[in-house]
Amino acid sequence: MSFLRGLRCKECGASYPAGALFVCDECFGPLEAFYDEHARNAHVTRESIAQGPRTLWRYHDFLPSEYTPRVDLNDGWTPLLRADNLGRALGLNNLYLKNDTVNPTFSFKDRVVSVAAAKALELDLPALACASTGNLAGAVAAHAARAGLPSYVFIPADLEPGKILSAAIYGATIVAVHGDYDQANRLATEAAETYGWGFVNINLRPYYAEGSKTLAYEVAEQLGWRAPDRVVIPVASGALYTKINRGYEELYDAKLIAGPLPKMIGAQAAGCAPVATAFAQRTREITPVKARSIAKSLAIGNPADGRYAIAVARQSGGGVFSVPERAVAEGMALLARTEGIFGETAAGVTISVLKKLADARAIDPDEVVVAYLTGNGLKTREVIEGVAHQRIDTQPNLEAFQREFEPRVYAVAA
Amino acid sequence: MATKIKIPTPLRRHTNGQATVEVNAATNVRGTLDTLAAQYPTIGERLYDGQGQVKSHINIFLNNEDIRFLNGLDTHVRDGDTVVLLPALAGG
Repeated sequence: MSFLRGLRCKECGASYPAGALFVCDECFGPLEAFYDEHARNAHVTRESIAQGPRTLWRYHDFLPSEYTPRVDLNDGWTPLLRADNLGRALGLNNLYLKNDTVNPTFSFKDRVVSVAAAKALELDLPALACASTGNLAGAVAAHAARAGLPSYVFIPADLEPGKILSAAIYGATIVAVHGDYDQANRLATEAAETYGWGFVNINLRPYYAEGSKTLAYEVAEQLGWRAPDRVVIPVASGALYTKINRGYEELYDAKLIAGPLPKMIGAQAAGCAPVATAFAQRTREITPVKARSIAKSLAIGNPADGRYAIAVARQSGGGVFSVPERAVAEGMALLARTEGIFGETAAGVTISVLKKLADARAIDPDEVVVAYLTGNGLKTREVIEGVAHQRIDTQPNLEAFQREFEPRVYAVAA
Repeated sequence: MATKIKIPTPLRRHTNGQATVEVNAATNVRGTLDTLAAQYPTIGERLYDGQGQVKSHINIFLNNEDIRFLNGLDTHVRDGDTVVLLPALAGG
């Protein structure tokens, strides 16, 4: 059963019943889910969680929706891998990678959509929809297909073709907006007011955002019920970053882990780094930017949860940092070549921010560090086309191959 | 001469349920919103904080552009322009 009690305004605290609402009538502030935490914390144990399915729904006591197989694609419970090769390259002795590139539609968005889609069915909404930089579109389309609902995805028209196709294949109606993400989002917000659809990141947002907390629960459980010392998370709207933090706080409050809680590091690329800029300037007020980043999944110039992200960065002893645009593809290649994981641009940003901090010796080498890899590189192949790689062209016989290959080997050996 | 203001659902109870309100043209966005607030007094305190700044979780667009990329509340408004009020939301 869900311990959800309703929705509450993050600004003024006014509370509402749990419907398809996202904005406070009193002050226009954003709403978020709240629970009977006392009852939940008395009920939930490590053992009760271990008896659950090997999906994110094992944490249903912390989620706002009731489990339903109609939307479950086995989302979540992705691998936590020890990364000794990358750790050696960065001078870190206890580095782990949370590999969310292997979710059903290859990004962490399956987590949030699974929770939002379950709520859409509870509320009997006629369709699923979203505004998306790509990953969310695929996750919405897939879960809508499984739930038997039509779906509408609003995307910037210049999105990577791989991301468009990976929503279209599930039968979604693609609304290609001739503008940037922020404009697509704005149109979707108006459409959400006009049609009765469940926009997962608009009128279902209070439920949707809760799905990200499972990235904290899983890592803590996979580490043997402890919090990492430090986590590195890509930042777009700031929702993922703040909700992972919330997830660790909830585990602590439920006495499932001891303190201290992780230092929260957020990662952005220089082409769209409004949160990192505000953090560097020691202000909570985010100045929106026109997004110009090849890391399109992070290209949100007007991040709705940016000010909450700044607060989390300060309180946790972490920070939000940016790396140059060229570091995006470099980080993707470093990750792939050391650990065999092909993450998307956001993963490149995450690894490059981790490297930047490690190079600056801002991380104790013995800290337990977890980097979150939130999406799969196959969707953003375009950005790595210029990355240097080894290639040998040869005729199909051994002599020809040896003629091409051996001089290079000996050249390297010498 | 008039400016159209689009009102989001949560604020419509302050405008007698109207989704669009037309006000007499003012020279800038601030003047336009002041005219709106004069017509519907309870909406003003929803839009502005104690210092007279637009609350950070409200986005204001003039036609298709966020006014923070223009000249903020001082952005010039021309006859026939549309001002859109929307909650700040993003993530995808």
